[in-house]
Amino acid sequence: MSESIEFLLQGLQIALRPENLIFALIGCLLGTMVGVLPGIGPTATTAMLIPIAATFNPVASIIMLCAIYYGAQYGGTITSILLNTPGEVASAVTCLDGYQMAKRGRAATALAVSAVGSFVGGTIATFGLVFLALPLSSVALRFGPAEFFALLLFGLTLVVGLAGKSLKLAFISALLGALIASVGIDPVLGEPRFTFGSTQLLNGIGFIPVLMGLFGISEILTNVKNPEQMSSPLKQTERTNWRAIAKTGPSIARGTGVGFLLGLVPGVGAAVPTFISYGLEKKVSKFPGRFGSGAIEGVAGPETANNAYANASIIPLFALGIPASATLAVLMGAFLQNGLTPGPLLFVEHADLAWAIIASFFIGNVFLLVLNLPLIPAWVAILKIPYSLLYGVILVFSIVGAYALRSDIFDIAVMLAFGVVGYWFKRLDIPLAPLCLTLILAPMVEKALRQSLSVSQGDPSIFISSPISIVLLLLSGTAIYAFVSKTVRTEHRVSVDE
Amino acid sequence: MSKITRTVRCMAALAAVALLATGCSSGVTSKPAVTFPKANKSITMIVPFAPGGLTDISARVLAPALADELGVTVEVVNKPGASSQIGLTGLSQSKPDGYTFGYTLLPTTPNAYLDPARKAAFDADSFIGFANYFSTPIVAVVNKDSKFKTVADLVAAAKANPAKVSVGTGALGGPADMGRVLLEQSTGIQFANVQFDGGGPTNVALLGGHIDAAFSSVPEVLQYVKSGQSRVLGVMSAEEVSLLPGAKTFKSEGFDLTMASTGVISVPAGTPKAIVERLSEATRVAMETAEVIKKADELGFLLQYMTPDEVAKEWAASEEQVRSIRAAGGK
Amino acid sequence: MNRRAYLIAAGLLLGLAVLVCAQSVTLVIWTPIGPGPGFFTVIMGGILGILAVALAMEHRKKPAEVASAESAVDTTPSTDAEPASNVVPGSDTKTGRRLNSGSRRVVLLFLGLAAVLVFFELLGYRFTIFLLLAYLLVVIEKRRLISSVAIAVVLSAASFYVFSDLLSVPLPISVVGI
Repeated sequence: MSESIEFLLQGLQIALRPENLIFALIGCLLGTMVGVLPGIGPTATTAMLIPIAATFNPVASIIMLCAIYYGAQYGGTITSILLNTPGEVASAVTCLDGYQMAKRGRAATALAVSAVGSFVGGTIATFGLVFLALPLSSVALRFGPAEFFALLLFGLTLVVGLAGKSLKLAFISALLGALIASVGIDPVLGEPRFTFGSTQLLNGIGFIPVLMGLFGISEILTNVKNPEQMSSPLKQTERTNWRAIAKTGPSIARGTGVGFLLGLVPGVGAAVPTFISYGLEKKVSKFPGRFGSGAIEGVAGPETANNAYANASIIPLFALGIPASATLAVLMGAFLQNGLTPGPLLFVEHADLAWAIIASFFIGNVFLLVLNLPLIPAWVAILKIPYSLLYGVILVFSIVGAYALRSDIFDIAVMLAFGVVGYWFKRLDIPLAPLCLTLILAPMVEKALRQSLSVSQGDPSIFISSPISIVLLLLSGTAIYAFVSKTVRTEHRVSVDE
Repeated sequence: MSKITRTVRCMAALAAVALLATGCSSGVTSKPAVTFPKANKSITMIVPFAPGGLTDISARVLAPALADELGVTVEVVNKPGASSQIGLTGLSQSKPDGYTFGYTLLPTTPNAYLDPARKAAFDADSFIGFANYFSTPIVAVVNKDSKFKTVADLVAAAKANPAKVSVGTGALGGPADMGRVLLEQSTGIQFANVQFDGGGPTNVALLGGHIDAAFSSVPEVLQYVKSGQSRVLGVMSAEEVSLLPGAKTFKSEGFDLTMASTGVISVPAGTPKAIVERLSEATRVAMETAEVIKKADELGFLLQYMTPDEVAKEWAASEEQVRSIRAAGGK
Repeated sequence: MNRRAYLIAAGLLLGLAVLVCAQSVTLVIWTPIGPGPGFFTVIMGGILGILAVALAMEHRKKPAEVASAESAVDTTPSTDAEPASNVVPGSDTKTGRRLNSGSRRVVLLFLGLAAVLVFFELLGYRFTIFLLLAYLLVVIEKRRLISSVAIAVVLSAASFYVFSDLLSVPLPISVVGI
């Protein structure tokens, strides 16, 4: 371990060179900007920048590209909190309580707790990368299709925790999410599902337009209907409440844990840790009813989780050469372009460069914190713009964001359609969170299940053949049982009262 | 409002004048269309596979060189799913203006449209292959701890335990998948086939010991073999591959089978011939740059340029091969 | 009013459930090694149908009975904070008349956005967004004509510059080439 510290310090020296510092800063700025803009994600930006970056020295360009990757997690929060428009799938959860905080005048606090949590999560995850990269990366390999299935199933059991007032409505929401996600080509057999001959639908219904519509557009529609309530609370945003932020320590700790652990499993995606963190916070909270109306833990936990995830997911890339997502694959391409092959050989052949890059993650996280905190009053000032002007701008951003995904009008149409859906959901008190969760998790669960059965050729015992999957399945079972018994008890109490 | 209509009319008039001035060239002349690509537009290269796999990496090597040659940004877009069917469908539906092209790998693509169950929205006529980029043979690999040492071992195990030896292959109907099918058909065995979203996840599963063996391609396994995490059982090529020293060919063990992934790049049908030729020429030049050659060698794929006509021949041959495999009962 | 909304929603969901099940049975339900593409969807469609019926049943009762039953179930506030006006008693009667000003604005906005879909690739980004913004500001928000048009021009041009030129986001230009 002390070896690692030595290497880290050497790497730090390289990372602190002016050229590398500047590139880290540029990366952080770009990442934040890219995260703020809905629909325009780090993947495309990183990909576009690789050729430009290749003209600079390898370390500097990779530092910059990595900074864009984890910096984008900071930016996506801003639009979620201020405008209820998630810029990335991972920011959707922040809309649930972050926007509610903004509506109650606590936008500054929400933004601050996100920045702090993100910093903590990112930094601790990088420490994990430094000290535990090699042993932990083997954890990543132990997740085969069966373990993946068990993990995702456990994530799904959190749906029940997000239920809220009406269980029926929560389940309807969850089922709709899963059904939406099933439109398209079946991942294992290649059979088209619910496509009705439309080639657009063959591609499936994209997550980002759905989420932008459900959260952002529906909010605009609702506010246009009732303009009165858009006036006072937003204009009077209180100053950052540091004491409240200090109290979120435990949430941040939990978020770091969740994000870091999930970051080690390739293919999980940035959204899953945020949902799991949210569900976890709600479960351990003494006042779960506050969630959905501006509970600060509902922002602190997920925001920490997604940054911890971003930094931790670089571990499988470094240690094993496995890119866990599209953006990381682009990063991997960047490495390759610059003559560095990620994987076990990286630390053997180019140790100094690898450690310099890792050291830069610490620097990058500091930059991001320093960049984001002072900007909070500026961001909050956006809320002072009269809503009648503001929502036009939000619409423009959303349209561009939706179109930018695939240069397809269809995505704008989807966003609009789900804006209407979200509008009605709000009027009918149907919770959005279950839909978002199943939208993302359900297709992954199905694919993992069928892949596992392909391996075992139909033998279900594959799901209990490894300790990881057994543990996760037991946890899922416990969660379901706990929930069912709680519901039965509540219903019993109801019928007794009547 | 009238300001707008006036502006529109002005612009339309200007555009008409400009068109007349440059003459009505319809692309029939042998000179390549000089207005392609326009300076401000960017080109999208569709890779119908998950990030991290062969096609993705190879695309990201070629794209910058192509961008240099064409003078515009070439952006790689991943559209994975259903063994390239999603990306191929998207490609076939794209505007045939040369600003979108993508991989139509052989034999993956013919497999997609020749299989009636997959109800593909495209067929051979939906694309114009303007160049071939690479050719990579398929390899059979195992985890370093595996008890299999040769292809013969694998076959013997499968004979003894039909449908029990799990073998991961990338895309459904892709070259790795076909390699597996060829082996199964020629020896009369049956593996437990597991489909993954490309070479990346397949190799990850292999490293984790979740599958017994995998069929993949040279570039996808290269770094894992080099680092010792996995081992090659055999290469499905005519000769040994220099990048995998010591790896035997299937032929040398008595299984005379070859299978390779052929990296054809296509535009949607209907793209003007001049643009097709320009793209083909640009690809050829890009493939000859030092950077691409170096990377190709490092990464393990064999550069093998083909003109549009040669591509068409190769495509037809691949279709034939797929048809005969399907007729023999494989999928 | 809310009760009617729930019944309509239940009806729509039931219709959706039927559609899902009908489509699912045309897919492969079970393969030799496990569930096929249609398996989970047909089950989900079935459950959705059941829930839709249960939802309709729940709201068949008259409002008074529903209120007393619901107040005994759960006292925690709803997960999605409702706009303040919905919680105010009596607001339902205010919105009882169809097409009052609030609903009218929403419908107008929706139509405007739908129009964007039609015109986006025809007129190109700049014109469409200009039209949209002008429409929003003048027709829906009833702001002054000249300042609205000015804002619309500036925003549409500036955003095009930022996105298309600076960020290389591919945005459509009109059929006449601008």
